[in-house]
Amino acid sequence: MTAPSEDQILVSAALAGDNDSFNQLVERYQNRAYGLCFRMLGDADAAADVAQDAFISAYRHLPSLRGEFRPWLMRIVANACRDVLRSNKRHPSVSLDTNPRDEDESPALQIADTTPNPEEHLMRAELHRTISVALLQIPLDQRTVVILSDIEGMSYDEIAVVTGANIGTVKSRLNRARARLREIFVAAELFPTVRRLIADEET
Amino acid sequence: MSTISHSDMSLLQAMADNELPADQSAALRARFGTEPMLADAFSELAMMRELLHDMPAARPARSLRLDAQTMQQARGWRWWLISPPGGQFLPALGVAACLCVALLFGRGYDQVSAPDQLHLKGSVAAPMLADAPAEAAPADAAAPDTARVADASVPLVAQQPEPSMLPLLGVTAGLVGTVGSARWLMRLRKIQRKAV
Repeated sequence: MTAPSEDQILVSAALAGDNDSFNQLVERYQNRAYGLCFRMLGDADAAADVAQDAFISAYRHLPSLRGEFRPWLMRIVANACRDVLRSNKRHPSVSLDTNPRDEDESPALQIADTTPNPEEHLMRAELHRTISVALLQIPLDQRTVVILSDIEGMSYDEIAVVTGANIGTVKSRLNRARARLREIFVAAELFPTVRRLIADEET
Repeated sequence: MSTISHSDMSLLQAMADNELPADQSAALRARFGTEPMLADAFSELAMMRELLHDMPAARPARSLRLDAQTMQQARGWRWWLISPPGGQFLPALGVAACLCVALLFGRGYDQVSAPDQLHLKGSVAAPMLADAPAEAAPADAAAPDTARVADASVPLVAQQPEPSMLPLLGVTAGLVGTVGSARWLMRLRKIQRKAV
């Protein structure tokens, strides 16, 4: 018999009525949940609201949790984002016309900046903004998979749980998402920028 | 880019994910020398994965912790099943329910069968009434009636009431309720123990 994970212990304590235990789970996963919402919705305020609602929903359905907490929670978060996008027909609020300086100052993206060069910092900020916008241009199912895989670092198995799809579908969606993203990156001439950044780093 | 087929693109992505078998991976790499577009596409895919992986972490501007009131409101029926209000009193309630059901059905049985018992036990009741004190005038008056009933030619065995199962059912229902409540409580305690 395997020892219960820290998540399982916190879930059990929350089910026994310890509210603080659930809030420990919230603190542990709020960045991931918010990150997924932000990448999917492209709006910091909406992302915070949806992530908050997802945690409330998770608490409501906590007694029905079977298995691991993290993929279960991320499934709730992904579904909440999908519901919002479908019901509101929300358009991405981050556009290519957004002032990069505003993006830099946004609390939604707190970049751990280790680059002393301001020009390089701006280039990176522009790069990240372009990638965020590119993500919003691919279909929702593909976007969800590529965010979970390449940004959140989830395994195919976990993504299958989160999306409710089988692993073959996950791989197929991931392939299509990356192919589409690559096309967007090429069109935006992103790769030369990245190569220049890499060259600068090497020198 | 347009010259790269869909199947080649899938192979490149599988290789970028380290999911391609070694022999297929080697065969694909061997094509890089003759097909520079393929090599460029692989390089771009790898770069893209790295870019996505290195995206800065997004953090909410506020804490998403839930306050006690929100939690209380969010508790649905599943929560009620796990921790019902007054759950510690469930066994006591079960016993009380058992007694109530038993008394209810038991009394009903007594009320229905009392006249029958009076008639059937007339022969027995008569001597008892005869032994009663003399001032019990109504009892004296009832004696002839009971004697007449006792004289009736109806067979005694045919008038005996069917033994009722209702009290037994009541007690059984109560016991089941008690055991169910106790098990429910034990499950709750188990969850609490695990939490500790």
